[in-house]
Amino acid sequence: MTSRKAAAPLFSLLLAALCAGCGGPSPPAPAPPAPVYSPECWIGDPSQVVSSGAQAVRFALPGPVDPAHAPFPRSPSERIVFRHLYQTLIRVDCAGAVLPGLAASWTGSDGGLTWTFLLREDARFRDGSPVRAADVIASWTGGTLSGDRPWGPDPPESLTALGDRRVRVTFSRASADVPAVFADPGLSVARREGSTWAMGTTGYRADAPANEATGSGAAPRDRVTLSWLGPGIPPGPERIQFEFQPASDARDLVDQGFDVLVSRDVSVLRYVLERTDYDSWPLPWDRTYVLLVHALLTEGTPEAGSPRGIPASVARTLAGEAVRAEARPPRGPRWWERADGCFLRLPAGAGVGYAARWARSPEVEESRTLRIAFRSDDPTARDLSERLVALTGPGSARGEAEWVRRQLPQAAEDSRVQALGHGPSAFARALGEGSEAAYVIALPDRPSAPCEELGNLVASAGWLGLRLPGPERSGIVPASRLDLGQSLVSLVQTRSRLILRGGTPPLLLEGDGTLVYPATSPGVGTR
Amino acid sequence: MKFRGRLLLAFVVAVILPVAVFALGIRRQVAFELAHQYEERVDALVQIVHEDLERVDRRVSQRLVSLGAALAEDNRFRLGIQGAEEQRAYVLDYAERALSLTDLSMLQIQDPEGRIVSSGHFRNEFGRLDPELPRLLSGGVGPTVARVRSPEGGFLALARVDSCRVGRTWLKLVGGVTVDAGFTERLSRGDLTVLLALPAEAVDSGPLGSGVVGESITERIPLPFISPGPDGVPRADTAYIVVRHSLSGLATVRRSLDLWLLVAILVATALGLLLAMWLSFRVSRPLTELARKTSRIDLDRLDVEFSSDRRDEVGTLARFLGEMTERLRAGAAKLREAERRLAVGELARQVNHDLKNGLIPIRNVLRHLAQVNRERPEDLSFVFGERKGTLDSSLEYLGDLAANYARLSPARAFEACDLAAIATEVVRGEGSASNVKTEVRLEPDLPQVSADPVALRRILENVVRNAVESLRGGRGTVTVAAEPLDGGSARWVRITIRDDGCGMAEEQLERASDDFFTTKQGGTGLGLSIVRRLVMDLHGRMSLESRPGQGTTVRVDLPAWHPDEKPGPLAGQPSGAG
Repeated sequence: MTSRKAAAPLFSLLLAALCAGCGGPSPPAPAPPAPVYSPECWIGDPSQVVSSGAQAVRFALPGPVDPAHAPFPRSPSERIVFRHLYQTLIRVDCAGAVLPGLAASWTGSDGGLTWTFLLREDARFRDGSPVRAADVIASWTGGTLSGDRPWGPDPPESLTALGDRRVRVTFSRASADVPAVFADPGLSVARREGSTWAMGTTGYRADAPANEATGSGAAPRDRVTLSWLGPGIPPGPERIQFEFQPASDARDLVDQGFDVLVSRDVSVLRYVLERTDYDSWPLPWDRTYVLLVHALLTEGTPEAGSPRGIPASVARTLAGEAVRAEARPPRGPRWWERADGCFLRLPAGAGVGYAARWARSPEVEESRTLRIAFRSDDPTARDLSERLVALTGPGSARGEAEWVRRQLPQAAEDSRVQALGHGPSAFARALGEGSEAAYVIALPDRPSAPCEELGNLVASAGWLGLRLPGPERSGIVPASRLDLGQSLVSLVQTRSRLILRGGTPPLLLEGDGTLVYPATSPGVGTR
Repeated sequence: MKFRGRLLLAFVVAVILPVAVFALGIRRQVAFELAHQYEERVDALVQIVHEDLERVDRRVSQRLVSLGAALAEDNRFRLGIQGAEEQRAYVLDYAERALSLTDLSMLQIQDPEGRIVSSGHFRNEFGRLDPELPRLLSGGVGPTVARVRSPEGGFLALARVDSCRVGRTWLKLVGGVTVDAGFTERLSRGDLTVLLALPAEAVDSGPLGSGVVGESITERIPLPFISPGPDGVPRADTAYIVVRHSLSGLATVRRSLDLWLLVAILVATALGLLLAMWLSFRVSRPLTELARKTSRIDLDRLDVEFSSDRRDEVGTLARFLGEMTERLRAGAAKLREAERRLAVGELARQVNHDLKNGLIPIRNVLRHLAQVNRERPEDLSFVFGERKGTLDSSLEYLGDLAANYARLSPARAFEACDLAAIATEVVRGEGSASNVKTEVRLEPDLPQVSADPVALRRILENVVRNAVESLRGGRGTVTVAAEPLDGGSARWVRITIRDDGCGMAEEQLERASDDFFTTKQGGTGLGLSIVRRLVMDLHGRMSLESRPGQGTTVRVDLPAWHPDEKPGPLAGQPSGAG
C-alpha cells in the first residue's frame, strides 16, 4: 500500500504533463493554472488509470440518491454521484490547490472584488450544446434548478455574462484568491429539460429506468448507474454502479464484490486486512466528535473566547482505546472557533425550554441523574459517551471524573451520569429541547460552507443562544457572540478508509472530501 | 300466632338451620384444604426456585471456568495483558466478544489490583478500580445478586467470581446473568409469581417471613446482595426472592361456594316453606272447618254435620263432634218435647181459662133462660131473643179462640207424602209467576217421605221462592232434584234446590238461617228460619252451600216413609250427607 501511495504523485505529474499536450482550449491570458492534482490526492493504484477505460466498478454508497436534488447534493451519497455528472467552474483538491473545472482560467480585479471566468472552449452539455456564460448564470440564479446556493453571508452583488464564454462575478467583500465557493457543488452548472436527471457537462450519463419519463415524483434510489458516453475513452471506469444497501454489515459489501466502499467500521477494516484482493486507504481526518454542552450552566467555564480543553490523558484514552474507529486526539483550533465572519440565525425563543429545564430544575436536583446523549446509530458517539460515563464512576481517576462532571450542568459529587442512545429523530428532538445534560455529536472537519454548518447546528440546538441577552436571542447574530468554543468540547478526530479492490481505477480526493474518478476532471481526461 | 304460622316457622327453622350449619362447615373445610394445598405448592416452588438459582449459579461458574481456560490459551490476550500496544484493542474488546459466546449478561476481567482490563457489558469502563465486587462475591455463599454498573445506569445480575492465570498474572473473572423481570418470570410457575425484593423494597413487599399475607401466600428466599453505597463502593446486603401465590383462586372458589350454598339454602328454604304450607294447610284446614262448624252449633241449630272419612286424629275428632252433635240434637229434641209439654200444660190452663171465660156468659144466659122458663115461661121467647146476642158473641169468641189455638199448635201430622207431586206442583206454581227456567229432576222409584204435607209444601215454597228471587235480573235456572240416600235402604230422601243466582258470601251463609236476617230489600228474614224449623219439626236436616256469583245450593234431607216406624228423630246420619 505504501508503495502505491508513493507512486501516485509521480503518476499525477506524468498524467498532467500528458494532458497539457493533449490540446483542448487555447489558454487565455493569463495562463490558467496547471490542472494537476496534488499527489496526495490520488487514492488507489495510479497505474490503473490508463487501463481502466473498459472497466465497470461497483461503488458502495452510504445512503440513497434522489435525482430530484440534482445537481445540488444534500447528502454524502449525492455529493459523490452528482460530482460525476455535474461540474463547477473550478475545483479544489484535497491539498487546497485550485484547479480548472468548466472554466479554463480566471482573473481577479478591483482588488479582489470582481472575478472573471473564461469557460473552456470545449465545455459541452450532455446533448452536445456548448456551455455558455448565460447557462452558468442561469444555473446559479435558479431558473429550472431548485436548491439553495452556498454563497453564505456574502452573496455576489452582480453576475454578468460577457459574451458566450466569460462570466463576471462581483462581490461586496474582496478576496485575495479565487473564492473556493466556485468549487462548491452547489454552484454546479446544469440544465433541466424535463428528464429525471438535470443535464450535466461530463461524459457520464445516469441510466434511467425504462419506465421513467420525467423527473417529477422520482423517488430516492438505492442504485444509480453511470455510463460513459464520450467523447473519447474515459480514463476512469466506463460504467460506475453506485449502490446503497441499507442495514448491511460492511463486510458483506466486500463479499458481494463491491469495488469501492468507504467505511469507518473497524470490523471491515480488519476483514480487509485478512484479504489479499482488497486494499484500504486512509482518508483525511474528516470528522471531529464533540461534547455539546452549555457553557453558562457548567462549572469551570473558561474565559470568554478560550476554548474548553480536554485533559491529555482523557483525550489519549478516548482516541486510543475507547473509540473503536480510527481516531486521534483533536489537534489545533477547530474551524468553529475561527468562524468569526459567520452570521447565524437563532430560532425564535431559543433556549427558553433549556433554561427552564436546567437553570433550576427540581427534576434534575431530585433524581441526580445526568445523561449524555448520542445517536444510537453512531458507534463512535456511543463509545465516547460510555467512556465519559465510565470516567465518572467509582474507581476512576479522580481528576478525569471531575473534569467530566464539570462539563455537565448542575453536576454534583453524587450525581449519577448515564449514557443514553436515541434514534435519529428522537436525538434531534432531544437536541432541540436541550432535555439532556450533554450530547456527543460529530462535526465535519472541513465543511465546504462552515457558516451554513454552524447555522444548522444553532438551528438544531437553539439553546446555544442562551448566553445572549434576551433581545438578541432572535434574529441573526455573529457567531463570535455565541462563543461556540466553550460549548463544543472536542473529544476525538476520526477518519474513514477507502477500501478498493485491487486493479480498480484510482480515485481523486477533492477538497471537500469527495471521491471522484478522474474522467470527470477535464485536465486529467485523455480526450 | 296461629297454628299454621307456628308450623311454618318451625319447619323453616328446622330446614334452614341444618343446611346453614352444613354449608358453613363445608365452606370452612374447603377453604382450609385449598389454603393447605396452596401452601404446599408454594413450598414446592420455593424448592424449585432454590434449585433453579443454584443451577444458574453453577452454569455461570462453569462458563467462567471455561473462559479462564480459554484466556490462558489466548496468546493475543496474553500479549495484551503484558502491555503489547497492538493487542490493546483486542484485550479491551475481549470481554464483549466473550459475553456473547458465553451467553452471559455481565463480564469483567480484573487484574490483581482490581482494575478492570476488559468489560463486556460496559466496554469502556476499562481502567476503573473495582476490587470490592469480586471480594464480596468470593465471600458469599451460593447465588449472589449484584447491582452492576452500565452506561445506561446499571442492572442486577446473578454474579459469580472466578480467577485464572494468564502468564504470570492472576486475573479475576466476574460474570453473571441479568436478573430482570424475565429472569423472575422464568422462575415462576403457573399462577405462582416470583419477584426480587431488594433491601429497600423488602419492607414494601410485605412483612418478613412466610405465610398468608393479604390476598396471597408468600415465601421468601434470602439472597446475598451487593450494591454500590453512596460513595459508589459496593456493599453487602440481603435481598429476597419473593415467591407469591395469589389467593384469588381460593377467593373465587370461596365466592362460588358461598353462592352455591346460598342457592342451596334458598332452595331448601323455598321447598321447606312450600312443604310447610302444604302440610299446615292439610292439617289446619279440617281443623278450621271443624272450628267453623262447631261455632255454628246452637240448640236451635243442631243440623251441623261433622262427617269425615279420614282415619287420622282429625277424622276421629270430626266423628266425635258429629256424635256429640247428634247427642245434642237428641237432647234438644227431648228438651223441645219437654218444653212442648210444658207449653201444652200452660196452654191447657190458658184454654181452660179462656174456655171458662167463654162458657161463663153462656152458662149465665142458660141459667137465666132456665129461670125465665121456670118463672115466666111466657117471656122465654122474649128473653131468649134478648140474650141471644150474648150467646152468639160467646160462641164467636170460642170459635175465634179455637181458631187461634189451632194456629198455635206445632203438632205435625206425619204421613206418607208424595214428594214428587208436591215438588212438581210447587215448582210449577213458582215458575209460572216469573220468567225463571225451572227444572225438576226426580229419581225414579223415589220413596215417599214421612212429613206433614203442609209443612213440606211450605218448605219447598220458601226455598224455591228464595232461589227464584236470588236470580239476577230474573234470569237463570232453578233446579229441584230429589234422590234417595243410603243406597237401597232408602231411609233418607235428599231434596236439592240449586240456583245459579247471586250466591252468598261465607259470612252471609253462616247467618242465612238466623231469624230476621235477610239480604233482600223488604224481606222479613224469616223464610229460611221457618224452613229450618219446619225441617227440624219433620226430623230432617238442612244444609246450605253458596259462593258469591255462583249460586246457592240448599239440601234438605227428610226421612223416607216407613209405615211400620213411628215418626221421630232417626239415629245416625245419611251416608251421603255432607
